[in-house]
Amino acid sequence: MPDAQPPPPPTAYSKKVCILGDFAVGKTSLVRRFVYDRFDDKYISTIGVKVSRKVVVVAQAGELTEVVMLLWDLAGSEAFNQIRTSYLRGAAGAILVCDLTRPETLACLSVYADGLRSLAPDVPMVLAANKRDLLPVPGGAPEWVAEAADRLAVPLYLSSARLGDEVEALFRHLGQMLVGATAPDDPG
Amino acid sequence: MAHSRRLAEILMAERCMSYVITDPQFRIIRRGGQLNVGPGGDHAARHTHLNQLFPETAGLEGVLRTVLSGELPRYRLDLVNRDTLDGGISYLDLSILPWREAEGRITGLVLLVEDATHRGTREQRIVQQHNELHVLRDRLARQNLELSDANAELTRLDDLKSLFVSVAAHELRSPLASMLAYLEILLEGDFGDLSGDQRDALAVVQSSADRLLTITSNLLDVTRIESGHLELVLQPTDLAEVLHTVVAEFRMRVAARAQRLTVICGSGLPRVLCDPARTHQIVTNLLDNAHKYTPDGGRIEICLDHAPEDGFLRVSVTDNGIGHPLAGPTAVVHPVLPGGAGDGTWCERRRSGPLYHALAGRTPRGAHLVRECTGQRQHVSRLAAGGRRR
Repeated sequence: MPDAQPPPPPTAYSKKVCILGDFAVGKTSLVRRFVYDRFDDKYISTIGVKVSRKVVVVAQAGELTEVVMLLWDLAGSEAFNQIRTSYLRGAAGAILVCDLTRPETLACLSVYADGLRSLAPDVPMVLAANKRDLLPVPGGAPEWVAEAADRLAVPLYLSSARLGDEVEALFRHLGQMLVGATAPDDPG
Repeated sequence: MAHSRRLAEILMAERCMSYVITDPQFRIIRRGGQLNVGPGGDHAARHTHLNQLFPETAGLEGVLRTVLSGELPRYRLDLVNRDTLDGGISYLDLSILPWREAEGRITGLVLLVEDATHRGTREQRIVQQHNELHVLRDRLARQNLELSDANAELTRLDDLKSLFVSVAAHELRSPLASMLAYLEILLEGDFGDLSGDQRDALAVVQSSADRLLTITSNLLDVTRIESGHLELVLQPTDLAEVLHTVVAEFRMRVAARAQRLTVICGSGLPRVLCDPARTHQIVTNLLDNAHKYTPDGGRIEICLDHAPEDGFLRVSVTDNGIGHPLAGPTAVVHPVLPGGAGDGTWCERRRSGPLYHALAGRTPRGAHLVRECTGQRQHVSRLAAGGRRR
């Protein structure tokens, strides 16, 4: 009887993921919750970029695959042209973030998405409608968010960085999309 | 060559910069400068991959290759955040350029690192303030909208309430009128003689029906005042006559409680321009309060004289009952009528219940009656217990 073989190491993909959205929508909080499982009520505006790293394991063709997500937490700004193209260059995916309590934060997302798609046309994205814990009535997605997700053609998650709701799920979903968008012989 | 190298070192020190040079596989082959941008010294970092020292370059292999090929002349990242050991944030500006040998051939990359913490910290403060102000402004705008909606809803409910009160008062008046008519017929003996007990009982019923009619009339007044549809009939009026009429109506009630009611009218007082019916109503309310809050056997005095302000008359009610130290009275000052001093009137009245508020000016809309009757000015003063109610 042959000896039991250890499972082969999963294929590792290293992917740059940009976190995009208006200021104070909770981009940094989402990353902090996902990477460190922490939340801080204090609002600190991000300027420039902060890169964090998190490995997720996703299933691909019946096998487990490691995806090293390099999360680029970018400064939110009122105009897309304030985000330099260099920050977006090389992005393999993106999380678009809006604030469920501020519908106006949705407006800039199409600009972010278009800007990213002009650099990488088929880049996968996920929409995180954040701060669901602050909604006066808990429930499904407000109509304006669902419509935006349809318009952007991206999966929608109602998240709460404070409570951790759907945070892991939305990053994992993007991880799955990243692997699906990559040829197996071209990791990285 | 040594001279150039020395110059570069001075520049690096002056600008607080560091550099890293890699081979074509992005492995570090040399590093130097002033900044501590990673663990270990030059030797420890040698041959490690660039993204070990600069995680910002991980996942950017495609971009780095375009720089390596010369296709992209440089790749720059401003204000890269780094956590410091003390829990703060430092900021770095990164520039990645092709590393060329003397003959111009690209053999790797050079990454220049410049400390931008001073600029970044300053910029962060500005952005923080801007963003916080923006969020506050948005929140304020939303709250204003919510308040506006709530206000509209309150107004709608208030209008519904007024409509209900108005309809209810009207509906009550019709059967009351029939009851009173038949009571009068009964009491006059048109349906036959009544025994003494029957007459007394019917008199009580009639008195109660009269009070109910007064209440419904007052309710209608309230709705008219609140809707701003109260119409006044202003005419030259002898206030003393009005006071005597009211006092006459109170004689029985006052006597029943052994209260002593005195009327004091100054001599030679002029007539004033007012709505006599409404003035009668207001004085009745004042006297009703005095009667209610004065003990049995107590004293009530109603006085008409010149007000301290020139060109006004004052109606005041004084008693030795309990006061309303917390509520305080409402005082209304009537301006002089056109045509000369002495044609105005001035009175103060005491607060008592919502209907009184409506009639005597304690509610915004209810102030209408007193303002219309007396002029456009009012003030509030306090009464001590047992004090003078004017």
